[in-house]
Amino acid sequence: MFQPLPSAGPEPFRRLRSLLRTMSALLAAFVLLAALVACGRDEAAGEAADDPGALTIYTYDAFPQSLEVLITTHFEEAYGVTPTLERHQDTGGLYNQLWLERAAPRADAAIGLDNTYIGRALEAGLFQAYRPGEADAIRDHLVIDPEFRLTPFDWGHVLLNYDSERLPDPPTTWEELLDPRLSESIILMNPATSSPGRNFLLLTVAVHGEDGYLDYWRRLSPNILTITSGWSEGYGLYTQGEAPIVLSYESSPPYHIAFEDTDRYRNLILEDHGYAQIEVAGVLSGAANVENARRLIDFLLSVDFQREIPLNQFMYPVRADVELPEAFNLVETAGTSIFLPVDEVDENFDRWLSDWREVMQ
Amino acid sequence: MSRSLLYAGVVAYFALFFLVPIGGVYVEAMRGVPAAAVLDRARGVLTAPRTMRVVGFTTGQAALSAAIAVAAAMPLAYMVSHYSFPGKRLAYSLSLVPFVLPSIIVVVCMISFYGKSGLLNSILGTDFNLVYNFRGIVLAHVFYNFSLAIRIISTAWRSIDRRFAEAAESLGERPLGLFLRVTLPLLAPAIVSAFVLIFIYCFLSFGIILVFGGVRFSTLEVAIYQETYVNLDLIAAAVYSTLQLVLSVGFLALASRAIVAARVSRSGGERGLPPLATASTAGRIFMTAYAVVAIAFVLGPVLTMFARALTNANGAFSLEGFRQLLIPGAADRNVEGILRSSIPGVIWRSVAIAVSSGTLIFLLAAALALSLRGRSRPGFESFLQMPIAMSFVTVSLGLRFVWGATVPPAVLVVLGQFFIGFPLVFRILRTGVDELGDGLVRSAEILGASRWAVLRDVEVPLLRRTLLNGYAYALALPFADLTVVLAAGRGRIATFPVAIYRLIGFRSFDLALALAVIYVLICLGLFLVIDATSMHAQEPRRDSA
Repeated sequence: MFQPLPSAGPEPFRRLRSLLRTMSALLAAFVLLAALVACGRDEAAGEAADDPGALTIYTYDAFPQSLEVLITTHFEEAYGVTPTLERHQDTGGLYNQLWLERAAPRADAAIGLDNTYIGRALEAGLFQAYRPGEADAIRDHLVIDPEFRLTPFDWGHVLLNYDSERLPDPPTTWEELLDPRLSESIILMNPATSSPGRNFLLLTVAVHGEDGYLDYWRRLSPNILTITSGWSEGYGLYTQGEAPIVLSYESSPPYHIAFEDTDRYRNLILEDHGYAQIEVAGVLSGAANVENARRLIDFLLSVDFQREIPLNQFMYPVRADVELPEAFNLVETAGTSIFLPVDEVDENFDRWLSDWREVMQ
Repeated sequence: MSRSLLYAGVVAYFALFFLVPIGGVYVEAMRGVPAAAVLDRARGVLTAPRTMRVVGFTTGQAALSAAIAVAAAMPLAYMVSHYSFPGKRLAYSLSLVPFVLPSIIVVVCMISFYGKSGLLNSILGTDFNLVYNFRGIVLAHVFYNFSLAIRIISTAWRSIDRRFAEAAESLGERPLGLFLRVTLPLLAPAIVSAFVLIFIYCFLSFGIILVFGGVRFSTLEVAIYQETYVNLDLIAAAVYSTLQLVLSVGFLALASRAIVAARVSRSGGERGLPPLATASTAGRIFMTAYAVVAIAFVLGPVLTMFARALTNANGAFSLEGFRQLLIPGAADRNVEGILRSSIPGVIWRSVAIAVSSGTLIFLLAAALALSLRGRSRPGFESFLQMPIAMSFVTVSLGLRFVWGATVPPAVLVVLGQFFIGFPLVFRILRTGVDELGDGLVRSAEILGASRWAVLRDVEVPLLRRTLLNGYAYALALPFADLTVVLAAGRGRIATFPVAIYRLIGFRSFDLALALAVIYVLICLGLFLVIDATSMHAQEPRRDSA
């Protein structure tokens, strides 16, 4: 209907264009400068002492700053060394970074891999053995690698939590959890994308057996409101009051007691079961500073470090001889720690997951 | 000459900070694995029934979400482009807010409003499960992208020369016919553009899907994340990434054809708008009612989130969250320790990084849009659109892997965020620039206007709305980014989304909501300034060609 205008004559918007081109060039310089200033500010403290001969540690973003300060102070005072701590997203991001750099690692030690990644990390040969001096102080059932390529430094139970104001009368057995009164009342996490989700699936496999877990999930599914990708989203929905039951950690209720002064959120313990999620640290194969990396593993197991874990990381210390803060003693805990062997999980998990997915579709 | 230099520069930039990082990750992943095994795995992934299901679902929900968003936006786009009304500037700026919200906050907003114990259910006294299913996904996507459709379509609508309509009317065309035979064809490029962009955003959706989709619904982006970060099967991730890239770029190329085919060069320019009161009574009532419902749809969830931030666990009004967040030492938690930054630090850094990334995005996109004006370079344009289709999970991993040791974190974040915003901003500017006629520029030059006079009085005013609209998005997208900052920043850079993420990780939803409110207010302030500039030219201007 309408013809395009003929485009003869001088080209329009020529000046704007040339102005923009000049500005683009100037901007490239500006961006570099601005970004340098921005990170200069951030790194002002760390950069000065960034001595590559010292100790480089990789961890995930959520590793508490208070624990980082503890490590830094210890190394500065005891050895005159300032470690560099780099954070790589979440546990999966941390693993990927370690794996991609495996031929020429830039880090000496890694803190924070958990059950989900331990088997693969060992198989890929990412870590070298170091048995820390106080290895015997670690609770026996937590030692997942007898060769100590990876050493546990904290752990916790993955289990359900409930909101006692909305659910005064919680279920206590796996069977009671299937009660129709709990229709659309449970928020879970996807085992394919989240650590608690994965561990909860493993818990059902351990409790109901390889032959029974799918049937259990089939019967559970009317009571599930939603299955979120990550713990944050799911726990967010729970604290927003969307459902009275959520998959979380045994140490979540103590958080609300310690910082929000409320005990309405409680552990929902089914037949005394909790699945152990274990966090580990290790010295990297090919590390440049093996000596300092080993000192780090020793320090993580020291009483000084272990007793700071509960209120900073909301996990349990791995040493049996460290006392828990009061908030932790106010909540009910699971007496039976369940933990499937890493190699058994690695061998079967993909199958368990895809069978589970077919049931939940 | 300088045009080829610009093109070469852009290609080099893409190569260094986009192609090399992605390639680096996948080459490393496949090193030492025999080619036959790689091909075998790739074939396995491609032929799995789950892959087909994922592609089908991804495409279907994206098409539905985009269609609803565009259709629902039309009446508002008309209203915004034809009338002035009180509060217009504020509403226009507010509509951009969902776009900058981190997905976890979108979830909280949607839940507070549409959730089982949300506001809507409590007003109606019901217990409807509105969101934890397919409906929830589409609802959240429309909420997210509604304003994008309004902005793109209303910008185009406003620049349609009214003489077309007047001519049609004088020839006896009735309003419906006028709309179908004159307005719609003229708007087609903008409508297609908006549809395609929203389609692509929903096609690549990540956070929303897994919160509302449960296990049943999964997008390719989610599959890539799972393979990369959980299954650690980078070969499968590469296959999904390639599939996603091919499909998205394919959709975009098809759309480009449709846009070019429908493109009509026309003279536009700003003109004053009559107040809404001049519309017919029926029209006025319809538009007002529609706007109220739309505002409730978009702002309801945001305002409910505000209300949640201002109430304590017992449901009473409380500023406790803000007090603990803003007053050092007021919290029993060590807030600075959790954020690993002070609050002023978070604000300063967020603004500095968003402005750096946004300005870089805007200038390059504008320079390219003007350079490509009236030309068709389908290959080059598909290349420029590639980042929109690439999984940022992969890009961030690659940036850190390839450049992490040499480029400082903040610089790397800016360089990486460029790719988040560039495709959208480029598309907005390209559509806007190409729709404008060049009569005025030529007239001014023929009349001997000086170099700066042409720039100042003709070129910039003609493009003002398009340019500022583009700039708003260029700022908004980096502002909302979490992935690149977390991955490329190596934990050293705390922007708003990172700070909110860290608070939530520490179970501090109360403080996270308070921080989200502050974040929304700052974004709103920035958009108000930008939109105020773009709407400044309200005085009637003579149309000419």
